[in-house]
Amino acid sequence: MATKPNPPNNDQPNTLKPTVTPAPPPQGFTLLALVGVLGLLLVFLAVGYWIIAQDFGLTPRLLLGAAGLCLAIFFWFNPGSIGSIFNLKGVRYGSNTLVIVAALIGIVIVINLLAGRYVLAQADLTSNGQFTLSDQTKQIVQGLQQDVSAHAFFSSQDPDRQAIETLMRQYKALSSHFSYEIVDYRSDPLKARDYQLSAAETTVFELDPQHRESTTSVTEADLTGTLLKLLNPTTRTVYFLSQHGEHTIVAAGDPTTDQSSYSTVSGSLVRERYTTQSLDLSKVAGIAITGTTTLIIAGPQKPLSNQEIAKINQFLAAGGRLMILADAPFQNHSPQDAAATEASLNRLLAPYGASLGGGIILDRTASTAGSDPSILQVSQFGTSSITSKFNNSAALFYIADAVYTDQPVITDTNTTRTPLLLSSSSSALYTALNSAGTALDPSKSTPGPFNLGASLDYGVGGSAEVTPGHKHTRIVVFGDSDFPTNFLLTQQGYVNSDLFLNAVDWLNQADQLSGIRAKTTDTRALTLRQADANVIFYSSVLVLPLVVVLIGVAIWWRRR
Amino acid sequence: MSDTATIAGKELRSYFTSPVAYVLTAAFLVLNGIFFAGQAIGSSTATMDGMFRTIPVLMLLLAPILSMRLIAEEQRSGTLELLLTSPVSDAAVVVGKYLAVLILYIVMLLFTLFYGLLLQLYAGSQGGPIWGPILSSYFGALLLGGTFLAIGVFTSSLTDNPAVGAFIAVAITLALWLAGNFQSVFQGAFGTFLNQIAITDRYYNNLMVGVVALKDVIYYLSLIVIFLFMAIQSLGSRRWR
Repeated sequence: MATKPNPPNNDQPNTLKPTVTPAPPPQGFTLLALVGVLGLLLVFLAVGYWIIAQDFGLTPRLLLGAAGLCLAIFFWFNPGSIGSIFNLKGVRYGSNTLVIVAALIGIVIVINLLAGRYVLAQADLTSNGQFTLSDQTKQIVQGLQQDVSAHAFFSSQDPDRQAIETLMRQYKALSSHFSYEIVDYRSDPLKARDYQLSAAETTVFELDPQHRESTTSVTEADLTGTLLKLLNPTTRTVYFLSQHGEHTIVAAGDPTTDQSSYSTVSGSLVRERYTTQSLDLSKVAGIAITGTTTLIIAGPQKPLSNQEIAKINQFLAAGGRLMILADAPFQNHSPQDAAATEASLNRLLAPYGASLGGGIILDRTASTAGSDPSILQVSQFGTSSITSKFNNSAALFYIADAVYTDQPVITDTNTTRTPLLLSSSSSALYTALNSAGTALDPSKSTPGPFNLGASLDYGVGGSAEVTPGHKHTRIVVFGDSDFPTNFLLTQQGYVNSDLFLNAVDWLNQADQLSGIRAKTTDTRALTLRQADANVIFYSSVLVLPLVVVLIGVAIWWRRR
Repeated sequence: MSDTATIAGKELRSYFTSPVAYVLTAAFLVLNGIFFAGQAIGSSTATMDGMFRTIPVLMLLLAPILSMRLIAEEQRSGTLELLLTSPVSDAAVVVGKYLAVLILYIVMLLFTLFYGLLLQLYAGSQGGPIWGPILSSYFGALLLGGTFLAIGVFTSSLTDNPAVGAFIAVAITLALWLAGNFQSVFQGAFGTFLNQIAITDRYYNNLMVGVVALKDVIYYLSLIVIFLFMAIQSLGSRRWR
């Protein structure tokens, strides 16, 4: 059914008005808007390129030029937009807010940049001042008599750049004779070439262009060590005696698998600018002394010959330095070799008033706790500069012998003997096996404590001959050769490495570095039985949260 | 000042009279407890490192949850208009709400002192835990958490949808967190700048190892001031939007 169209209602006034349809946008409007947007986009691109590439070269300039052209076209053909932008209330207030916020952010960035560069104030809450320059470094830098400059070649992407800058700032604050610069070797390769860099992240200390020393380390110990080497350029050589079954300084393969090697501490010595090498005494006429030279006898399993002992005595008389690390006799497979080896070492030590105990020290409390009694946790240290920084620390010794320092001195009385570390009062020295030869004989034991190491300073302060034909020398003797091995160095929290390195430094009279190196992370052991571990776990994970929930339930109950 | 305290008190009461605070605190303690106990027992050392290493991750999620309703909820329920027309400044509103959520966070942290007492009990014979780095770590956790919460308060002021506010907070926090990772992508000064603003690298790590450097404290306080200021501006913008 077709519907008729309604007739026009004549009663109603004819209110029909001409239909006002919005004028279609001019053909160019969309295009104009696109030009405006393109202009803004080009501005962002130019600024982004400038920030990222750090280059305000041709590309960002062209982009900005194009952006300016686009925006100029947009505003030329649409001039009303300028007025409307500034007349909009929201835009006006919004702009104010943006400006205020941007200003605050700018101020805060400037404050932080200045603080990062100039504010050195910090509190070091570690127990051993781990992040504070050591007294030794302060003393060395404050004592500078001539200008020293440091050139640290680090790019902005090097992870240690912040660390080196922080340290250099601290050094500079100590002396007006010290200056430093951080050189970005990527942006200034010519300067890097001038300093003949062989590796990135290198710091070069310089007195003048002829006197430079460099290091790739960013630790305080290495930096100060490099500075010391620049100020006191002496050669320091460490020989490790070989051919008697001693510990080697080169690991056979991976250091973690060659656990009896000294390769780790030998590597540390090299990093501290010592020259290390093995020495077969039977093949040389004598031990040459250049600068300061040290001979280390690390756990010989066979006796030294008379000729070798004579060469070592000659070496000591000429000012050479000696470290002996002996083993308990029962560690040696051959009792005859053990006795002969100990006798030969005692012949070396006898002139300086020291000798080995000829037994093994066992910790009787360890036996009752179920652990190996031949493993000694040594926490009593002497007053030597070798051990002076070891407060609240412990060294780990394994199958150790005692070191006696109260023997009569045969040649003279010029030797100062200082105990380095002591076994606990619950330890005892066992010197013989039972009649069956199967176990240690308790009736042949002496209660401790015992010295486990000693330093012997022959002719303290003497620079020339102390006695006719014998110059000033130093000797360190330990009753254990295992403590600096790769294996025991993997045990965390012990000062074994520092003990060995400090002793070498003391022998070489380079003990300024000892106090710097000793700043390792201080950790406190948590000895727990299974029951203790359970208490800690369940009280932390269950009980404490449950208490909080119960408090919440109690409050809810009250409010209900 | 009294307005700020009044608003902070009101917010705190609303936290502690609802189950939210207790549930979140309990969850915070369960997770921290797992990482604390795991690290201390596993390494046999008297340390709270396990907990302090976890706190940034926990706060990345917890801070937006704690702060998302602070302003956004008022907007949604319409009470914000009342607040804005009352004789209370925008700054008092923002700072009061921020203080409330910060106090709640401090209460959460205070519960974890229990871990330190456990360490003192069981490592007492070894001299107990080293309290210096633990205290500086607490200070770091407070500054870091305070910054995350300020970001949460700001994003809560941007929208009347708490979930959206929380999402934006996580995005901003993550961007600040990961900024340092893009240092290798962007060369030169911009790369250095990104590294400088990374929120946990160096700054929090310094505090965790026991170094309280003034520049690190200034960094966190700067971020807190910036985000609270932006929250105040965002709130003020409602008058002319």
